[in-house]
Amino acid sequence: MNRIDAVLGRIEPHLAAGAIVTDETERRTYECDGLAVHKTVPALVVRVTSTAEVALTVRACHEFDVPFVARGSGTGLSGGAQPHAEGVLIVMSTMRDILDIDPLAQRAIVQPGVINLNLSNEANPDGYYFAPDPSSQSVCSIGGNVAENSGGAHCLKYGFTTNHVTGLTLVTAQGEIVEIGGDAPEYPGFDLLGVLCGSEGTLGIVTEVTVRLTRLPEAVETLLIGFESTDAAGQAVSDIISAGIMPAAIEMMDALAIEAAEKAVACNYPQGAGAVLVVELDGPAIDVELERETVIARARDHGAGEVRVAVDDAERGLIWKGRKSAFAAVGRISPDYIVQDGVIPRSRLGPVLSSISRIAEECGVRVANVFHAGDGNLHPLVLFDGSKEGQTELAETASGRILDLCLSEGGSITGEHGVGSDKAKFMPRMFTNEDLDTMQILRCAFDPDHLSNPGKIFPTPRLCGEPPRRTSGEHPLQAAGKAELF
Amino acid sequence: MSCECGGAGGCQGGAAPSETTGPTPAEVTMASAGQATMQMAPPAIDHSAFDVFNPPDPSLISDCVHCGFCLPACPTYQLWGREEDSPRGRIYLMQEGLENGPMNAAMVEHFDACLGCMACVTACPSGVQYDKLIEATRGQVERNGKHHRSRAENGLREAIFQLFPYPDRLKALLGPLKLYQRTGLSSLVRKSKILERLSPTLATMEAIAPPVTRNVTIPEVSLPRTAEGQALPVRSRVGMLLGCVQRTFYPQVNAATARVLNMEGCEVVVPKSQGCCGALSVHAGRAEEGEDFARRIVDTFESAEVDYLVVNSAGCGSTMKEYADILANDPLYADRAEVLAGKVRDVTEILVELGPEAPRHPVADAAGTNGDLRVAYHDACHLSHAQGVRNPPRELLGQIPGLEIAPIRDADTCCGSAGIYNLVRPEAARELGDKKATNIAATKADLVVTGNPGCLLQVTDALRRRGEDTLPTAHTIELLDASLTGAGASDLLSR
Amino acid sequence: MTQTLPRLVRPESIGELSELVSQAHADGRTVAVYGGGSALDDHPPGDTPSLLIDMSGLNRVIEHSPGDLIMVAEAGARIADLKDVAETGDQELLSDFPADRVDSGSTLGGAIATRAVGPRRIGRLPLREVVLGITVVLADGTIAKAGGKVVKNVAGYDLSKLMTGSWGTLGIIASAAIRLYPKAQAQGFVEIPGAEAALGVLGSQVAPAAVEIDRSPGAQATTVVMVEGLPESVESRTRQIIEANPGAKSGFEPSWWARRAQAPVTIRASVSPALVPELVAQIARLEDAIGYPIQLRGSAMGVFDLGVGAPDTDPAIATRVVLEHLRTWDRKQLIATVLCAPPAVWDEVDVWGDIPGFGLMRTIKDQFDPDGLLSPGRGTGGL
Repeated sequence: MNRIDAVLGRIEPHLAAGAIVTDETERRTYECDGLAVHKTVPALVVRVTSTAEVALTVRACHEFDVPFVARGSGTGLSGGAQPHAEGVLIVMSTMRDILDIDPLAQRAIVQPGVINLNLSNEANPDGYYFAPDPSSQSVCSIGGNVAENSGGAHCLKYGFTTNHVTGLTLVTAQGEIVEIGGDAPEYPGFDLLGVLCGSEGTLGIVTEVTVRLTRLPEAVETLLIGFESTDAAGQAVSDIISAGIMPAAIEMMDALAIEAAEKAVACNYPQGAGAVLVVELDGPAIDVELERETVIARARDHGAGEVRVAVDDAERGLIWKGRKSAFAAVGRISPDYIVQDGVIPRSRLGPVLSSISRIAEECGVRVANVFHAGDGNLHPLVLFDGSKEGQTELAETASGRILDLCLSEGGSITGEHGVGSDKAKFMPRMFTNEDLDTMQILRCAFDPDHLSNPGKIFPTPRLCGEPPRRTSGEHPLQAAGKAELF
Repeated sequence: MSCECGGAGGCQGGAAPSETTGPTPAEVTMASAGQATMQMAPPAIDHSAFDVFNPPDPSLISDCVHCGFCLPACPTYQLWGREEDSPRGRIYLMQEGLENGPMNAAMVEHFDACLGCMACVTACPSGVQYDKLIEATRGQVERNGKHHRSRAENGLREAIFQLFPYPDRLKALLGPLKLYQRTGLSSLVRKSKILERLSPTLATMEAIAPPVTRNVTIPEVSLPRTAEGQALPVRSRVGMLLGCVQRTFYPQVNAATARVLNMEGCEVVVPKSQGCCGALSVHAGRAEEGEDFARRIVDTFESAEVDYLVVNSAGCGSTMKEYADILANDPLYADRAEVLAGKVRDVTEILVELGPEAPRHPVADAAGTNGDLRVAYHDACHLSHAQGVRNPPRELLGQIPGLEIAPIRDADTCCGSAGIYNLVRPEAARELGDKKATNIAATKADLVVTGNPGCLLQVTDALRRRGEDTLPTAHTIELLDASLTGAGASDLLSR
Repeated sequence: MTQTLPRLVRPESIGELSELVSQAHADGRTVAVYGGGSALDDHPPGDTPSLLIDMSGLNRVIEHSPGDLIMVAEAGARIADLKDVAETGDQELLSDFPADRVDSGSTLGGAIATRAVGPRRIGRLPLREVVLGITVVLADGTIAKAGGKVVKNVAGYDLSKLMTGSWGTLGIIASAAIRLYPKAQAQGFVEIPGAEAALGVLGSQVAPAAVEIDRSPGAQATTVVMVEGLPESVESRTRQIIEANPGAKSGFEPSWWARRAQAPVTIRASVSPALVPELVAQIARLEDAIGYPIQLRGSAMGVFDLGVGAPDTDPAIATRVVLEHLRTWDRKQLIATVLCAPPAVWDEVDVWGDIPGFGLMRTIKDQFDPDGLLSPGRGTGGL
């Protein structure tokens, strides 16, 4: 009996009918997440509804040495939920209850399949919301947010998911259930929560999350400002930050991205603008008013054209709609695209954008730029036509060069999408072997058998029990033909 | 010319050119081709689950970037949380079907589970035309995948399509149904819940059948006149579709529609011979059948020479606007269908387009707080998602003095009616109906209106199941009629 | 445990530090780190190390970019000095770090390793969120870095967070990148008698920068709210708070602000915000019941220092009683550990109680420091 069948034998008697998917056609629909270029059909799909079911499945996997991958809504952009061909895909989207909302404690307890926006909507009547707001928040799951330490447009002011998690239940890679943290804001000892957030499912599976809810601000104002160029917009951003303002969000889109968004959702952005800024200010009404004046003044200093202040929720929603649908919208102006997620120091925005244009020209592809101007997190969308010969390679080259550019500026290869399977090969460009080995010490602490989402984040797995400093020469795994160094 | 209606359809009206001169050679070929496809297995495409007749278009499929924004909009994903029952998953299955045939049970199950509500089309940022994809795919399932359904289900579908598109057959049911309802047998059956045990489908059918009303005649031609009966100048000459379920079970809705159009200066032409528009068939993938119904409608209304073709049923209007696509491959009808399709309007659309002229009278009789009538408007999927008609009904309701529109939470989510869905997938439909009823009840409205008979049946039943018997439901046009005639809403509210 | 004094060394570069540790590792010597010595009395003392590393030689500012809101500095740099540097850009570094620690010479590495926090928890990202990147020297001398110097980064595991609050037991922090904040133009304080108002202020929309509660032994609690921002805004919001809370009056920064109360034993209690008034009330009752002074001071967000005892008294028994009482609460609602105590008291009380996830922490320690050479016994749970 093969190992998958053995796992099946262990779990089948305890799961509801329909929880296990063996049919190949159906398994195929799970072969990728939001990044469709990385696909692998899982050997088995298990849809869970409780911590006990997750623990049961993981224990069975551990017993028979079968890898497992957890999947939320499948909207990730780094292939983090890409299944393993000989592994089990554990689907958490069916584990989606909001267990408690406690406005007085400013906490909510949710199952990982709960959709981000749904949590905020449920908390709204009590005057609260869940602050991390990735663009995919209408569909992405809290579990996915924890795995990727998702940011979103508002993270400059409010922080990432890790800043909003005070407790969770973890099923370890051995199938044990561990409760970490709780309602209290701080717990003694090593920051396990801090380490698990952003661990991309490689340290076990989170089956319950206690989140911190944030009080809805007294006032929110969204501004849409048109500029002649990204340079001008970038300088305006610098000035705004220098003025001591911490906007709730400050997003930029260039002309090509605007074009796509316009076609997709008819957001009515200023015509002919070289760049737009979407600025959101929130907080006490008086703060918002004072800040708004400063923002507009600084924008005008740099030749801002149209300045639109949303007058109601509907208008605010429309302004954001353009920005939030930008990625999928470029699908209308290009058959294929690669979305990057590089980070650079914000002050280098101007020069970097110029360099990106140059790279695009040299590679013969178009690049649309959408980014979080406040924190330097760029999302260059490399547009190409995969059906034309050589285009895919050119696009990937351009993509890689852009990441190298970010690194040369002292930035990062990923600001919020995660490394997953997509960017593992870039990790050695950002970190030394010692750095990567050190991070993997952590992995050895949680998952020495390399069963929890293997093959993600690190291009070369570390043999556990091995000291971090490697002597020169071939890595043992490489010698054994089991791994390839990028 | 051969046709499938068995004589109960209405083709005595609009005379086909072939009537007087006999079938042309092209028509003979078409006819025999039609016969042939019904009787022989259509030619398949290599390695594909689909045949050559309108397979899902690969270029439309490739528009999907797999972002997943459609998932939260999809009612079946909301119910079950499963990728394979989401638009993204179904598109994936279509792609799978194109690459790796034959059509298998999993594909059929998940395509069939789709409600066809088009909420995903509204939600998709990449503009994927899922409506075209699922329509093509449904046809493929009908031709190449039926054997994966249970015999019972196939039998049920056949029975549905022998009945619902034929107003005369529906009418024949009215007598026994009236008896069933008037003798109290209906309440007995409902209380005993015996049908729910026997068959959820039967239970649904029984539950949603509205109380039989007395017959209402719609004149074949009516001239524009005020509420008081004074003649008005003709602003437009419009045809009106009677519908099948609508004319049988809600004839008063048709009467109200004609009246309102009259009061807004329209000459209304209602060809008696008109049959089914083919919507149920088209939406269920019964392509041939749908095309035949479409041809009959084109014939009927073409000869009526109208400026617009007004429809008061969302499902029908949505299909009729697609007649050009549906009959694109028929050289005899393609152009004519396009012309007619261009004339199709939902009744709310045309009223807004023409502009209000008749005075609106208040409808509230001191009902509700500060004398306002609180009305919840339910968006029928085939009006909002399929036709993009969201504002006109709200605009019209807004013109009625003393009326407050209460928004319904999750307005974009289907009520579960979805054509024949609530008959072939009663449990899922019931869950969706319950959610809709909960959301409607939460509005604390005095009245619920909508623009589709299927929704009306489903929502009324769901509210009744919830114990909200006292929340009356009506067609949007009935409320407008109550305002224009000055009759007030008391009749509607006492339902 | 050896009684001999540790050998003291003072490296002046990360390379030197690495070599020293590497050599100690080869020799099997235990190693501990000395920054400013401002937290020496916090946590049980642990084993006397064989090698004590004075980090004051690694005190350079490596990078300061106000436009990018970051500063990168070596771990031995004093917080007080770094604050001055940040000020040149009109910005603040670690604005919520306790003032008494700054005054007694805390270093950047020490601040991070002990994860001390003061007021200003609200509206600003706390210390753990502003450490953007870190360079550490591991038990065997390997130099490793994690994170980066940009405010947004999810590449790889967040080892910065692992090292934050690790008390030198997983690695020696050599340098770190810290996010800076714009300096507020004005500050306002509102004093409200009692502790009940605190939750209301937290749940209001005035966006306070801090809500602190202070209760001296035998006295009533006081809530002090701080707002900051533009002068107009500060004025308006302090007025709003005063109007909303009977008995409230505007005030100044209290003398105890961002400073720990002086008591023989300090218990750190972290509690769900909803239960803060209940905790304050229970402490008052407990104080009456055992007849022993208990000071309470901390943030209404739910992190408090409880100062047990008075000078010249033996606080061991009282500490035990308080701990036992606090630990009757569900640990998901409240968790209490002993932060500071006289040497004799450490062995007489259950310092740590039941720490969620401790098994995983021990495994992590074993992986990072298999020979147990880094600050043995100094970490949480005695790790």
